Amino acid sequence: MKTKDPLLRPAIWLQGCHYHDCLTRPDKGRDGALDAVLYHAQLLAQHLGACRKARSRGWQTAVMQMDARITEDLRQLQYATTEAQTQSRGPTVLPQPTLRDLYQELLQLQQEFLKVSIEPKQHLLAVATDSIELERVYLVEFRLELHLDRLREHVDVTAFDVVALDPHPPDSSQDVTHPHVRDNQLCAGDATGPVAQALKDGRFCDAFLAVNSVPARIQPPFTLRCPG
Amino acid sequence: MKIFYINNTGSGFAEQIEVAEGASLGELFAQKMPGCHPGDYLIRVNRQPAASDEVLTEGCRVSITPTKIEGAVPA
Repeated sequence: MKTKDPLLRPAIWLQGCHYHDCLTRPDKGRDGALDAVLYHAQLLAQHLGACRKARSRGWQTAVMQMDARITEDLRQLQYATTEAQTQSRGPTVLPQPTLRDLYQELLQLQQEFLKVSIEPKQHLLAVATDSIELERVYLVEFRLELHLDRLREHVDVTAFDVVALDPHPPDSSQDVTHPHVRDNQLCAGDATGPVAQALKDGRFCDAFLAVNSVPARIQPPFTLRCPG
Repeated sequence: MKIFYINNTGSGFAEQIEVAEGASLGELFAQKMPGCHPGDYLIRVNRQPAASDEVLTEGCRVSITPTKIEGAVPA
């Protein structure tokens, strides 16, 4: 990696985007799990207080009812705690990508795809796919666009747009350019997990490759299916 | 020895794994992707295409990505 390397500046930009997104992105999964722990702990405290009060007054039926609720609270609390531990552990499995990692991601992206566009002002990283034959007639190229600003809200396939460069949509639905693409959004199916994980790890090239694998999977004979 | 293994199928995990000294890429693929055909995957060692008899080295990065993944139909 040399200081005058044309990929160095984009790699620094990419690192800034990724770090910023990681730092500012709310971890909804972990926050939700921690809220559940607090909720069940509060219920436990309430029921424990009520149970002690009932016992001090000799209300045996109430004591039995509160005991049952406490048992259930403990079970729920244990489940919520385990879930919160799992959620807290998730993001720290792998270290954040270094500048060198991101530089190599860009380098690999250029090796895997013929056309790569890096547009910092638009927060955009994009590649062009090879032509894909649709309906045995049309050859369609797609532009896969990763909108890095979207990663602040959703680290998943919704950060991508899949744009047909010369679309041939069916008459019944102009926004379907591919059986798995509608309104430029990819219905990623089995690629959903790999794409999200790759984006979380900063493996941008893997994310692009996984997204690219979905439009590529056309089994002839193929018909555009238009929902609704 | 340890290598960095990225499997872009299923949940798409990446992890450090232990492999035997002198293990080849083909052996790793057969172990991790039983019943699968290498031609259906982009297999990279240190981000470069590699032959199945390439011997893995300590700390190398191996990624396996399907060339075709089943998408979903738009709702």
